[in-house]
Amino acid sequence: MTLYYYMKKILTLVLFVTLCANCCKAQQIYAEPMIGYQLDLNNSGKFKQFNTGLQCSFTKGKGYEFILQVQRSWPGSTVSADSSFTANPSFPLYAAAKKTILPSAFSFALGHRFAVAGRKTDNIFFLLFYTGLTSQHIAVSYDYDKNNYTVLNPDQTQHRTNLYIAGGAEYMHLFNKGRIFFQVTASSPPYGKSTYPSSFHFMGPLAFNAGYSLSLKKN
Amino acid sequence: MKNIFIPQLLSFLLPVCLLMSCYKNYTRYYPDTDNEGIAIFSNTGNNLLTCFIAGKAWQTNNRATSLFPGRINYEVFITKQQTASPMDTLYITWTGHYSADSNAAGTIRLILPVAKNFSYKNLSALQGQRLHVDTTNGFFYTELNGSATSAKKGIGNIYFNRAAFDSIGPSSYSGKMSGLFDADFISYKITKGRFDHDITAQQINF
Repeated sequence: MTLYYYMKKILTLVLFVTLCANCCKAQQIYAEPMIGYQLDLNNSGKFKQFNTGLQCSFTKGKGYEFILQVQRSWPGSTVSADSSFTANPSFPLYAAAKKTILPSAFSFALGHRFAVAGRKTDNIFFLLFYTGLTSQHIAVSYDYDKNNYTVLNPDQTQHRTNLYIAGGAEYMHLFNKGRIFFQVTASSPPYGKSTYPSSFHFMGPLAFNAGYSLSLKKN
Repeated sequence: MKNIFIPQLLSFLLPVCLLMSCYKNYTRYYPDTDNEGIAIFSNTGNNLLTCFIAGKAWQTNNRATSLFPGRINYEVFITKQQTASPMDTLYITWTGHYSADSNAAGTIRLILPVAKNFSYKNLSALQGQRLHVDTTNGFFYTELNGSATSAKKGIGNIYFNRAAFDSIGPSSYSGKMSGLFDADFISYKITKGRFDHDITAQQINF
């Protein structure tokens, strides 16, 4: 049992209590489907993904909203070439090995939406903060002559599930029966230390999402 | 007298035992997911050689040191032996064991005839070179325990992806060496051999 283990347990408990408290107090609840696109700040934008997600927003006025977010990020493939070699003199010394990387992610987060401008108008600017769990799966595959060649310093499929934080800004326009929003958020990679010498890191996405708020409950 | 002596003895032995148990491993083993039992092919100084010998995974011993008495066990040595003939002999010797049986110790050795003036610069010139060793220009040699391998001399191929050495003092050299190899001993074969070492001055004897 490490300090990290206890911190994780305590944080999970705090998140759960916050969730219950905010959900019970809500005057209005919105369901917010959203879509978007994200690129990865932690790998110089090398990995790109398409986002689909669903948020539940619990409001108690115009200044603050509590958010429950589930997001799935679908991979855009990244193709590159690595070096493969052979000791067998019957073959050329070097051959390119086609490498395909498919980075996908799933996250569950609790968020906070603070209105910072336009609170009394139909155009509101928010600051966003999220904390939660993210699961990243970066699948790596090679296409080359595996019988005769060996890839030098190959990448391997990496997977990590752990805590993350995110922050960003959002513009929201209010309609009579709903709301449309556009948001930009930057997320940290999942917490942890890599044990394999990959040519890439776990993703720290910069996401551009758009969504619509559907009112579910009004007290 | 006896009661005083025992705590004193324990207070001395305990730190010694703790020091002796401190252990540092300089070998980094990253498994090759396409070839179960051996490591990836790397050139980052992971300090190991892995291969299949007659289909069984074999690996060099970990390069490790204990804080007390501070001796490092190396997995590879490069030695030039002077001879009375026109050529000297270069030995690259890897010490290891079958992965499934650490008691089955053995060695794999590459033996090459080299010029009398062969130096670390000639060793560096191997970088990027692929040698076909056919017993006329050298051979592979194995001493393998725990296996039914009888033939000790073999032919094969070796590719030096990296062989970069430098002089760090009088008759003292260090560098990096990595590559691929395979060998045929008629009754068995070494396949998918790959090695990656940071070489210290203690491992080169010219």
